[in-house]
Amino acid sequence: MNLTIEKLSKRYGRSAPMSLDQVTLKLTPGIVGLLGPNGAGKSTMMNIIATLMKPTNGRILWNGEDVARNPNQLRQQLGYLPQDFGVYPNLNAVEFLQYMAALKGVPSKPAQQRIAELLHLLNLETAAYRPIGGYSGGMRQRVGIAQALINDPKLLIVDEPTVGLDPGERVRFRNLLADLASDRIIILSTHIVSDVEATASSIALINQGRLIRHDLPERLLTSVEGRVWDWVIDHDALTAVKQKHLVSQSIRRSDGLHVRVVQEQSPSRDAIPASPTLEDAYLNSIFSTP
Amino acid sequence: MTLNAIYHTARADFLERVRSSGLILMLGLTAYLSYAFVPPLDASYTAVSLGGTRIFYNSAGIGLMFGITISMFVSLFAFYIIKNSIARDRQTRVGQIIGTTATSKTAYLLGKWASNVLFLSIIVGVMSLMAPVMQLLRGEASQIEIIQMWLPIWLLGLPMMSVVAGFALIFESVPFLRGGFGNVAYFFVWVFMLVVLLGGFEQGQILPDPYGVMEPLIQIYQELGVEEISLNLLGEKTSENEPVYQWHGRNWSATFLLGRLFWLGMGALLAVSGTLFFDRFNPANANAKKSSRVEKWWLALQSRLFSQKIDMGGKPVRQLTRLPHTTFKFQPLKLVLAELRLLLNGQPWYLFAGLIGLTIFSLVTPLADNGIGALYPLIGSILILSMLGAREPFFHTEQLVYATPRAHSRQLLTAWLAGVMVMLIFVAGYAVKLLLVGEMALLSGVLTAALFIPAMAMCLGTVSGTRRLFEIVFLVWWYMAINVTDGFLSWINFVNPQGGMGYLLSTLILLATAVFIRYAKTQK
Repeated sequence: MNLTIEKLSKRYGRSAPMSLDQVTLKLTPGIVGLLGPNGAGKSTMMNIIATLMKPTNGRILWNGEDVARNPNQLRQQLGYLPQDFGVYPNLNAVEFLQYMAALKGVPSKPAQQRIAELLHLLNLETAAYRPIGGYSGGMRQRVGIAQALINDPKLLIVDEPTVGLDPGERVRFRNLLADLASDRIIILSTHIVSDVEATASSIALINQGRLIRHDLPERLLTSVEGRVWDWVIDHDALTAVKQKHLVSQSIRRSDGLHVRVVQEQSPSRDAIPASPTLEDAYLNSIFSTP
Repeated sequence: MTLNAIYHTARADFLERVRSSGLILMLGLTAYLSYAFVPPLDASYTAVSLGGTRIFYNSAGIGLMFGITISMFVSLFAFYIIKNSIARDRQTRVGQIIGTTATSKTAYLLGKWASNVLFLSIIVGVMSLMAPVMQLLRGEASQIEIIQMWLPIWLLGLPMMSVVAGFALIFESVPFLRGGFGNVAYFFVWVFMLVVLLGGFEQGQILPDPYGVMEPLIQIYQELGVEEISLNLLGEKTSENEPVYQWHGRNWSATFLLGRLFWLGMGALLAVSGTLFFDRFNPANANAKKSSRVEKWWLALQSRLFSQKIDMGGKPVRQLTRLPHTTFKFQPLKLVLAELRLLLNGQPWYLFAGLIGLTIFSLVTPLADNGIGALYPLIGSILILSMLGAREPFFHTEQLVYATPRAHSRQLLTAWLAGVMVMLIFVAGYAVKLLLVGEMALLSGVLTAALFIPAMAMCLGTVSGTRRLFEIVFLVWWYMAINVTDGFLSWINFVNPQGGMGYLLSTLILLATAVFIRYAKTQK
């Protein structure tokens, strides 16, 4: 099973800038974390992979077959959770999932079993027969996750899936993704770097429509080894420090402001080397790329 | 502070409107309307006919015709164009932010009214610009007198647009008038107002006149010296050599001008009266209607009728069971039933109570020759069917639905079939009656209309992405289905034996268009 993205480009209108520029990726089973700042082109890329949009140039191959020629072959095996989606408020969760199962062609009996399992796993069984219109944001998000998984997809695309989930539900969802990752491709787009850190087997960094790097998390961490510094400064010096250095974190403590600086050289004699995190690696990659 | 709030509410709303692609469509339709309302001299119809007399195409005459058109005809469609001002804030959730600001309900509604009036003024403005063009194009009079031309357009048109703007805000503020029911209700309000005013006019009574047409019409009728008076819009010519009346304008009386100012202000007053019902985007009200005892009982009944319970097992689930993708296949019946459930679930109880009442009514009342009996149950279905094609954009589920296999054809056609089932439920009583009395031609007309109406809903919903276009077109169709007897649209009439073929052909064209547009939307 593989998904190959070849020189994928997208431009919205002739005079518009490239939203996606010659992105090439080869994905095999596992979770790929898609990281990038707002407007980097992540959602555009996911919409194209999910067959909702046509690329301006380039192509996507699902198990060697061009998706543009036969999108239904991929749709049969696709689970998609968009960032901003709606539900039918007068339906309850069971009815909504039955509807989505019917659209995806899942036979009745396995669909019923799957719905029951998903409602249990996503902690929705007690609210299963209440209209979705009365659900909280987190519950609605979990219904979205359930519909993406209703057809046991071989390709699962999830855009900001943990938005609105409380910390407990977030951990539960991350574990669910990890369980599912062994025999399917999961594309996880998020701004929450810790979600990617906990689950992703590889990370693709996108900025200004271009793929900056696609690598293993540990190799990304190695790339910033010796370039992260912990530095205690005065509370009112933060603005000046931010202007000169790349600050990935600042925490107020009684002895002053603890800032993490990502750069080659030590920012000060008082700064001490720190263990890098994925967040440091992400910021370093994004801001060091012209 | 209040004036500032009114100004900025109006400005933001107006800018949002004029920057949408719908404006181009509106400008195009207005230009076409201007063209159609000054027909060529040899056309088979008259745009504005005063008891069989046509108005001469000079500046004042065209101005008066356009003034009457805006006031009496455009006022129907103008309502549907602007009845989305508060709804947009609700849908975009900007309303929740506005609700937390210091802006009062009065300032907010007055701002929205001002934006509505300004936006509708574009229609009046376009028609004002088209008026001299049409005068030159038809060439009946060559001298253009711009003041005589524009005065009736603005004096008749603008105050009525203000009233419509106010009406739209009341309909948006009253909870049960916000949706499709309000759209249908306005159509009848509009018809009722015209019937009462023109009925009174024909009997020589002078009634309150928001249209502003009475004073010029009375003057014209006095000059014509006829006793029986009538006004027809877009009627067939009564004879080849229609009498022509030259109107050169008038000195508008102070009473008339004050009257127009009164109706201009009345629009604002109507808007302000909306504060009695406007909930200021209180999120609690979204579920309030479901808290009454009847609604709770109805929801429980719907759940029993439509919801298929599943076995939840009870044991904790550790892993998801694998599904063999080779067994996945399109199950049309299952999808049609799911679509039917989606159409019917959540509909108010009174709709079904009305349906039962209409079915009994259809069965027990004598059959009318013109097939009007079918139209009452058909109009009941409008609130359900208007969601066809528009449901996905309305609930933002496009991305979920369109990412499923062959959604552009499978989901669309099964949803249409579910719509046909709804139609059959609605016309069942009348169809049984026709069967019992052996009116097979009328029965086939009604049944083919049951295929046609959901196809029309699906096509218009897919094209526009909203329910309103279908609701408006449906009402026009509904009116034509009993009134049109001749011409190329005569197949619309149920009693026409050739109607069935026309409906079947239209159904196919509408469905093909809907599939094509849905497909094109996913190919961008």
